[in-house]
Amino acid sequence: MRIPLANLLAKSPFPRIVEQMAAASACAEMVPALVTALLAGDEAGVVRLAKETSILEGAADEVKNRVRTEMPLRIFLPVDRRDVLRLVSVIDRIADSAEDVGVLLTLRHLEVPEGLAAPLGSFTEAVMDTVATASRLVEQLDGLVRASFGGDAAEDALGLVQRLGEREHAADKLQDQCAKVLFGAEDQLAPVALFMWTKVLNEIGDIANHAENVGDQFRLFVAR
Amino acid sequence: MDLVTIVLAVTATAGLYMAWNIGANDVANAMGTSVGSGALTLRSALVVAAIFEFGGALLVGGSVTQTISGGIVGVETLAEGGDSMLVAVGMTCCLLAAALWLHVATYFGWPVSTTHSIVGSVLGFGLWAGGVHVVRWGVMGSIAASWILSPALGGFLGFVVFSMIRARILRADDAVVALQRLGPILVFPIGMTLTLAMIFEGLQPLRMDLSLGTALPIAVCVGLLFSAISVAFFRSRRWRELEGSEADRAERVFRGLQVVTACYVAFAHGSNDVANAVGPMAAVFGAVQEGLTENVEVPLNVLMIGAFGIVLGLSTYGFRVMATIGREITELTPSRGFAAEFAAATTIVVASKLALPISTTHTVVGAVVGVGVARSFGALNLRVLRGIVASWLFTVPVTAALSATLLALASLALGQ
Repeated sequence: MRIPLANLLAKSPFPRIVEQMAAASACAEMVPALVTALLAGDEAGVVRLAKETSILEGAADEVKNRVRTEMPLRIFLPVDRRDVLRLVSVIDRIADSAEDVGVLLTLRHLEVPEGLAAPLGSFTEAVMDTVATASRLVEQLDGLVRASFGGDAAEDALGLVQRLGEREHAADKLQDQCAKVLFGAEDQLAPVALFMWTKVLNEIGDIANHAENVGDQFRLFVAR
Repeated sequence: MDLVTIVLAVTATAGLYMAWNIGANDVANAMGTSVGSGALTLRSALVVAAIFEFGGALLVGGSVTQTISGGIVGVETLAEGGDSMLVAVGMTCCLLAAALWLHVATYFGWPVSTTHSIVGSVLGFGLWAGGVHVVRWGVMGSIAASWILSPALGGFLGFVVFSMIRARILRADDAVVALQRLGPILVFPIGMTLTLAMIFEGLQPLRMDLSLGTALPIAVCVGLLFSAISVAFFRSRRWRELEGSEADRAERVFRGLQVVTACYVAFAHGSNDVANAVGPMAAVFGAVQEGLTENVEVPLNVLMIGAFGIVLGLSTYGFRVMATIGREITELTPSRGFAAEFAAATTIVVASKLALPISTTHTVVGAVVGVGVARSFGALNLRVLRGIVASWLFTVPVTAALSATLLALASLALGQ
């Protein structure tokens, strides 16, 4: 059958991207459990949870690969194709960072300095907040496409992007607090432990950074 | 059984087969958007197509048919030169060559145009039978230009119409109110264009040959009447009672409007594509009856054979193609489908009035791409465009060579 119209509308990559964000989100949501296990001194639990996080990151990778395979060169999108690919990379980095947190926690026994438990808990919660907001934003994609990336849908999306930025900033501040507590206890901690803790805090903070970058991509999408 | 009868029989069969092919493959491309969005069920699409393809073919199809039968190749020169049999056999070979190429293309899934195939065959016939001088290169040039311009115009119109719809209706605070104001304006060009097409130097069955001065005011009045009737449609209370966002409500209204554009595009398609089957047939009948002049009026019964063939093709096979399209383009919401069908149909009708045979399929694709450029779909597969451009380059040379070859063989066989 020589019916060009049947093949003209290509498979839209956007639903698959929503799927990818859901997978990355599921991976990131393991981090609070990891931190809880660490604070409770449950080393076996940390190892188990880290392994689970790795598996979830693998699943997110698979969806990412599918998005890229389904976006051939000759596809014409309502937004810049490179921006879409960058969004895919950024979402992938959320899952990657979450996996890295898990791996870091299994490398070496980390004793928890006094007074770090509470700020660490708040910090992790704030980071999860950013991921949740980014998730909500990505779920708007379908509505945005239908509204041609303009009008009310675009306004709502920009509002979410704004909120995402604010939450990332809040998470940053909490990360600083954790660092202060950490350095406050620097005399009691082994230098290696201090080094590892800094890495862990940075890695958790990176999750929030990547989530904010998701918002940046959306700013590009709705720009005229 | 003498030669003339054989030739007539073969011609009629080949012409009917071409028409069947057009109905089976091309109509679905034209009306598929209305089926995909759910505006028409398959069955109602068939009914709409049957009525409006027939109407378009009969009422406006004569001009393009004349171009194909006598406009590209100076058949009267050939006939006067002594050999009307040459014309008859030649045009039959055109039909066969085009049908053959379409068969090959369908097998490989290439987006080849029926119009390009027939024009190519006729060109080949002219070159072989009478040499370079018997081909009207001016006409050929206009046709080639129209093949590039029609998808472009369809795209441009689609882009403009959809941008307007999006800005003024889809993004309005109250879409239903916006539609009450702007809907009748959107509908007006449809009524006017159809009327103008039918009564301005047209309406062959009724021999109503009105001049532009008389036809235009009448068309405008009919268009206004159409708009006036549509006001009731837009003011209907059921739109208020719909759930969902403003944009969703607007889409429901456009779904109703897509029934109108489906009729419009079916009429337009009939007016342009019936010539692909019927043009050569008209030339053959004319040659056989020794009545070939440059402006041979296409007999009504010949047009009817073509129209009948199209409807037959649509109802036996075309509905399957339409179902396939309907499944694949569900992302084409009613507002997009309306814009694309409106743009394509208007372009096609204008081309039919200008007696230019264009590719309706490529025009529809152009219109959909135009709407897509306005950022209205998730993704467009531009590889399809590459296939279309490739088919442009191949079709005319191949069908020209095919028809010349067939004619050469036929001449040998008939000892001429």
